[in-house]
Amino acid sequence: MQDIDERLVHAMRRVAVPETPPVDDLVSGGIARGERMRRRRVWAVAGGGLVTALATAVALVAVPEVMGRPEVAPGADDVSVDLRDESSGEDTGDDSLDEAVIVEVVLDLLPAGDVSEVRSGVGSEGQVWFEFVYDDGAGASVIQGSVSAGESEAFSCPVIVNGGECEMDVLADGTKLMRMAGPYYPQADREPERLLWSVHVSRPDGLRINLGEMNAPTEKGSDISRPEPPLTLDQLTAIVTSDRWRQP
Amino acid sequence: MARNVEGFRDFAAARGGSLFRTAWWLTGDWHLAEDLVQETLGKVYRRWRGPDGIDNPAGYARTVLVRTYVSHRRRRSSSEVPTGELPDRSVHDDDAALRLALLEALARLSAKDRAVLVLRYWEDRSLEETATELGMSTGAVKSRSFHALKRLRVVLGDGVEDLSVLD
Repeated sequence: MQDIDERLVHAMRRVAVPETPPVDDLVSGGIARGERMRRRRVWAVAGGGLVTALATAVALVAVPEVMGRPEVAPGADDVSVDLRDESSGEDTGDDSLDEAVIVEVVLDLLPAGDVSEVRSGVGSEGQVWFEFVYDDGAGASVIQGSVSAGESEAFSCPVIVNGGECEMDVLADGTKLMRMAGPYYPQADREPERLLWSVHVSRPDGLRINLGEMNAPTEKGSDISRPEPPLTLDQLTAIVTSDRWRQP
Repeated sequence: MARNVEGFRDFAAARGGSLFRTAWWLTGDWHLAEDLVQETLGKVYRRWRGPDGIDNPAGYARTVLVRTYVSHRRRRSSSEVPTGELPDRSVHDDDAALRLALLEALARLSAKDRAVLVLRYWEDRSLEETATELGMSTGAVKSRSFHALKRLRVVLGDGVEDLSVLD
């Protein structure tokens, strides 16, 4: 008797899709999508719910969104995000961000904990966003983020009116770093215990990474799960400045 | 810069059918496969600069295809609840029944496991090639392949024996 893998090969060969693929439609549809993708090459930080306009250099910062943790055993897949296209070697710094790899890198860099409700996507401007719920055992936290590529971005701490804090730094390699911690809502009297901590980097090579966390399992509408978000600002910083986001 | 659209069109026309068949094994759905291939071709087109712009464009397209599939499946993962068991169905009838049984069994695998099996057993990629295309280690591919086949055997149950008569 054949092994199951041999039987699988033969079975797949025999019962593959029975109809002729619509190649003309695939080609025209692919070109149309490719043209749309090209037009979206204005890289902007944006994202889902938590993300707020970093680009406006005001108030809140984009907090990334996440998604499902790979079932791979930790360390099994040692992947890095590279601005260079992995197959062609072509410099794809403008538009080659790989959503799956980005999410996997972020999840790999997290301290031990449970991850659930992972979501991710590519925004209208080409930025990869992700969101998930992370629980280190002390309370669930929504973590969100985004990664985009393009040109190095100039940003500065916004005016903060809700009691939060913000600090800017420029690292030795020229990477601009902004770290923020404080209440989620800009209004000082609105759920001041609902916290959003976030870090943002803009590298000289154009890669921009935003990562944020809250002390609640959802951005809004949920009870606070812990006094503070699970990761310190230094831990968040370590993730966004990791060498896993390697240079092309 | 000129895009060499005609060059891309020739490439896409030559590879579209193959990509679609792989996408169909990945998604198990005609329309999802169409969507996946168009998304893939769009991504390839986005960086198409001519015949020399991408080394091994066929391999690159396949990589984009499987990674896009895994990525999309993850986004939908929170709403997908595997039922665990297949419906009580005989796979002895004909190709259509076998096809359905295989697709249902594959649908019970994680996105990466399914992608590993499709690359290994449909695309006939080596462990190393599969690892490269999915961005994981060869050890991880081997492990995933082993466990996915084991899972497939369990899900297909007695029906898996029928696969042996197909050669």
